Amino acid sequence: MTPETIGLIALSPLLAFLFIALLSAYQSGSRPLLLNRLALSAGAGSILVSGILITQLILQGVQTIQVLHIADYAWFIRLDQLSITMLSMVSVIGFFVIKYSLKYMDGDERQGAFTGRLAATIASVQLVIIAGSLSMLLLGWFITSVALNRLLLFYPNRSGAIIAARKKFLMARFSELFLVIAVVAVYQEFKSDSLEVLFAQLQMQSGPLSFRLQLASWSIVLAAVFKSAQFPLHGWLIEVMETPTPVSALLHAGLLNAGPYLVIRLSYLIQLNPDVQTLLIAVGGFTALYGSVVYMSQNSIKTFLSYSSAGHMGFSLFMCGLGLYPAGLLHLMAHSIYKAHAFLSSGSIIEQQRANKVRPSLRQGNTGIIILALLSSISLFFGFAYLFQTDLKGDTAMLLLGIVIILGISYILVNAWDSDSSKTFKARAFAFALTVLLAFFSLEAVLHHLIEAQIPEVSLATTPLIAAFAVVLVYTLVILGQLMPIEWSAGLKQAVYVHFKNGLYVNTVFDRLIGTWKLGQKKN
Amino acid sequence: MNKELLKTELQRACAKVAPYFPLDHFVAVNPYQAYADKPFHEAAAELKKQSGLNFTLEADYYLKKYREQYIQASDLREALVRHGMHTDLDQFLLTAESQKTKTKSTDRFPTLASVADSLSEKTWAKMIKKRISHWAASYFDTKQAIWKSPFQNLGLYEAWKAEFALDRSLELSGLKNSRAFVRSLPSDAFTALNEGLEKLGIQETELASYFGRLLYQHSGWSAYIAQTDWDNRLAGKEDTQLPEFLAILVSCERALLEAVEIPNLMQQWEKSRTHFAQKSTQVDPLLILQEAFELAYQRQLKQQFAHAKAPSEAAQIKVQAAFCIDVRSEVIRRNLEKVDKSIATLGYAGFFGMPVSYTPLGFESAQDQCPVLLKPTYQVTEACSIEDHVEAENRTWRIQLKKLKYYFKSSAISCFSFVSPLGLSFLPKLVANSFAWSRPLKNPNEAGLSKAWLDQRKATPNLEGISFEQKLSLAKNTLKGLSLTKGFANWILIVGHGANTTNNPHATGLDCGACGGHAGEVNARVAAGILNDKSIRQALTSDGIFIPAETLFIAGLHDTTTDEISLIYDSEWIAGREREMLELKLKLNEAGELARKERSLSLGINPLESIDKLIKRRSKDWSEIRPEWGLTGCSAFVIADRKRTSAIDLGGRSFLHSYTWQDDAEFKVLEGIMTAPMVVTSWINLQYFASTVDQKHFGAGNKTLHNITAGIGVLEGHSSDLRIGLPVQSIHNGTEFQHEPLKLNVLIEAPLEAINRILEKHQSIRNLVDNGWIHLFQLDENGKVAHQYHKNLSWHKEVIASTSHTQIEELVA
Repeated sequence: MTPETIGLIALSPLLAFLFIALLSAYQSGSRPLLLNRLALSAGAGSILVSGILITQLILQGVQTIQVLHIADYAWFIRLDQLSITMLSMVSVIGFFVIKYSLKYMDGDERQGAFTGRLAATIASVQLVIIAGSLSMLLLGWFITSVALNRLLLFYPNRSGAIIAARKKFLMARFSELFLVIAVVAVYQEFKSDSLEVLFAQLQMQSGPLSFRLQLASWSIVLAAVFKSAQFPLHGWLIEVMETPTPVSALLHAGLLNAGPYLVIRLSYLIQLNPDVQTLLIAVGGFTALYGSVVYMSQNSIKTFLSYSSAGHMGFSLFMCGLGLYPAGLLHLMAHSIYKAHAFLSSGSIIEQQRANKVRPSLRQGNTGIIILALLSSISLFFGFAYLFQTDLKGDTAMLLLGIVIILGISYILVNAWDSDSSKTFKARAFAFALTVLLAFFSLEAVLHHLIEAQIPEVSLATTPLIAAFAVVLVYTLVILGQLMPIEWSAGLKQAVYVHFKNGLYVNTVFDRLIGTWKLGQKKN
Repeated sequence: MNKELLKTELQRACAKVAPYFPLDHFVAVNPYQAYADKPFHEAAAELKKQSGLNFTLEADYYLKKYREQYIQASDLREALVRHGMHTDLDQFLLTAESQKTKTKSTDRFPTLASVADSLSEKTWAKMIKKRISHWAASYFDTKQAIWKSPFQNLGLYEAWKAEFALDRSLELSGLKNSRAFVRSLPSDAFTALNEGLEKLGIQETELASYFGRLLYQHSGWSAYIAQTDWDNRLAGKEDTQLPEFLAILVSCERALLEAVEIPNLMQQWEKSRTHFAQKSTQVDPLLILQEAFELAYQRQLKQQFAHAKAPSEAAQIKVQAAFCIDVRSEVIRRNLEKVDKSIATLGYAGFFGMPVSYTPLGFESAQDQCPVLLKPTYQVTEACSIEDHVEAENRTWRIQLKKLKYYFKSSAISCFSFVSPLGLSFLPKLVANSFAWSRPLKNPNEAGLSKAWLDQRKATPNLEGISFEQKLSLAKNTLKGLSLTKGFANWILIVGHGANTTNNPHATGLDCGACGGHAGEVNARVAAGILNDKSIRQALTSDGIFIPAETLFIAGLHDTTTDEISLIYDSEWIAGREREMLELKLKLNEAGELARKERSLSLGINPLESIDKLIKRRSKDWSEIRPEWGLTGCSAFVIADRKRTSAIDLGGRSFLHSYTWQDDAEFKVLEGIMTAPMVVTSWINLQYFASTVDQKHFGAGNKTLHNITAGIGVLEGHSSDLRIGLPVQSIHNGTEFQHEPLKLNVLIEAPLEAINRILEKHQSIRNLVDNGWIHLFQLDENGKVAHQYHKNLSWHKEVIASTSHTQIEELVA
């Protein structure tokens, strides 16, 4: 196939979704049969195109294809392992979200508009992913916010939706501002915004970074942090369930990813600046902790899932900060699939509770067994590392990630072994822990192999490394706090609970800053 | 303030709140039940004035029906007369067209928060409502959040006080000294309430309105708390949570007065209350339109009975099939009889008179399989054999393991080691669920059970918890209740029902209400088990009930989503009769097919497509927002022999209870029907009614925004009040209301004197009919509507004219 043909194929789903978005202006009402059928076809076509592009990639390798040419300036799309992996994932999510919406929104008097906005949003995400020029990525970046805004305000009279959209609006503008700065700085430095040129130049970079590139790397990270709802900018994310469930699924699985994706895309730049790596580790590491602690205390399913997403984005950025880009990407993709499913099936949680009526497995608080379980987790992890020939000695970052995995394994083993449940239960829990480890090491190996070519070799500088150690140490304490039979005083328990349940009041303060309680007045 | 008076008013206000049953057994409740002692239109006027509740749809809805001549001029004139209005019809229509249903917020009894809203630029009322809703969710959440509230061991008020003394949210939102204020409150709820009311300057005469308004402003959580009180009362425990909740709400109002400076608040507050007191209530033209609408429906219902063909002489009955009175049974019953004339059907409350508490295999706790008005008397379990005990153990570890995995993926830090390795394993699930090949979770009734065990499960559960005498009396009551004491066919099916939906938070609301919001399978199995018991049958002969040896009772389950009926029996029961069984199953399939075809219209299925496939798919599709219509449309309840209705297509809108008064010597059976099923059907009917006319207070809102909270109910979006009642999608098809707001029309075939005697004896049901919450009719010996109940035990005789409307003559019974 000629590059032109491939370029056209790669762009076709995007164009199809764009067409559907435009068409929705003419079929915006209830039960838009034609529009729905087209949207579903575009979704399926998108998966097909991903398949073709994967084949092309295997056969012909990475391609940068010029799609537009105005005077001296050319726009490229870049089809490499990273973009095609992401594109495939977003296509899959997009298809299933559309499929879900067709039934779910049936009877809504503006279903056509809904389908159109979904299509526009998916198109914009695809643009971000396949962009081979930074300005194109920037354009996509901007359109995702605009399109998402239209979805968030699908029920335009809901004051909660207006508030959430307003918060998101602020975050989005900041994110765009930073990205603009980054693009301008890079362009001035290299007189090109093509990723191909950029990567080539950066790989040859030696000595201290120029001011422009420093500025660009800071801006990239900040753009990502603002885009992906990192602490303390996550307020909007936990409120956007003011719009139908499929939007949440698409947002959490397809759009929130943009931050870590941007960092991974520009990893050649990020890895040259240890300071921004430290920033990623600090912000990502803290948001991960914050999100995952706060979400345990949430009583509503969608709020619960939202805090979790903020945490997982944080964890992904944390791994990027560590230079573990393949692991970061894996986490991103795995999270997308899991979270899309979690949102779409969020109506089933009552069924889970209805089945949850057997004798609960109770902890015994047997220190000997707890220590045995902890030691087993550690040995198992290193056993697997040995089997998979993972180099942990030379790779401190991987070791740190390993500790997080060990913490998870100990969570399983301690809770299972130190319980009053049957032997079968304990054996099964052990088998489950083995499955987790097996999956982790296999996927890690596969993904590393897959996108090795698109990411730099990283060796961490001292500052980010110390920051990362600190983060992992806190994680360890949090896990031990959950696992060890420690009895806290009632007062402490209550205070910690109240403050965390309220997300440490970040959103409350934010509400006040943007005048949430004044806004409501005008609307009602 | 007089403390005794306050206590009385407090109790009265709390008693007005109807309970809300949580989503794991979501049962219909009449939200107006405490107002039954008032005429419908008076209660409507009062509640509209006090709290802004709606009792009708908007005028357009009725005027459209009038233009389409569904409502006729005669109906409207009759409605006007009944309200003592002598307006000219055209004049009235003009007034009605200009009518707006929406009560302006200033018209209701004020809350201090609403007054504060109008004086400052903030929405205090909303802010407080949000905090209260968030807090209540965490206090009552015992099932959902991983990290449970450490305040749950405290009393309601005490817990609120402790938490709000710590929580900085209100302070950070502008309620400056809220924590100090909460700390300064008395530790006892009643004292706090009393103090609060004094500070707020509420007069004794205002208590009822003020309490009512506060409770309805938080109608969701109030209703849930009313349910916890209800449960506590049944269990003989203290039921003070709702009064405590009211103390909390009053304290929050007081906080606005004391914890923040809002100029002129007190003056404006008094002014608004005076303004309210001066307001008078008028007859709402919308209520007249509503009444005309009901008259129009009744006119047509009467016509249907008047013109019903006399049933053809029955062939020899080979099968009798007893169904629940549920309106959904009407469709399948009619079609089953159509398929085979030798099948007769009967109607009975879906728990078939078996008030059991059932413990599923391996479960720790039992579920009440009976109407919520009753307390179950008998314990039934699944486990009998050694295999059952082994399977119970297996189920325990399987579900424990599931829970461990869930905690692993939902806990701090450990969630990260879940996602990377296992997140992608959700891809096959995403695919399979999207194409409806599988459900996101196993059906909770089967979760953790092996297929092998489910396949060889005994048809009859373990009945050791019921003594012989008890079984005998249950058997007797059920047979008498069914008016089935002679003429037993060879096969008698006892068919319970349950819905089959996926990813539907309100799933249990589609199950059998008479079984406490569960599928009726267990009750049917218990009934069949008892009635097949030879010793029971032997004992029944002394009561003159002779069940032939060939007669076999078989439990069944009617899947109301797909109209499939599955039968539950052990293979040795039908030894030698397999062929008959096969034929029976074919008939059931055929009837199911016809029923699906009939229902496909209202489900918006294109008749050219494969109806069977599409309807069955609805039950498995996780994105399906209208899997079935539930009891939508319910508007009549016929208590008579099936021959009165068998020739009428009641369109799945009528409850049907079998009853032959000639066999009911002392009218004990009728009394039972009128005091239990009639009340329950009215509950269901009024729940649909309320959710239709007042989504804001008694409806659950838009399903696409539902956010399940605390394992109890749903929020609409991020931070609403708990939303009770039915979602919009359950009563509206996107184009128009699928449910027509009509109060229940009960048609009884029995002598007037007998009906009157029962009404006289039971004030609670007399209230319902005297005050127009239920319309009562009597059927004569030809199955025509002969009399309509008026008031005070008096009846009007119906004369069906040859023209299309009914004239009425006075008659005193």
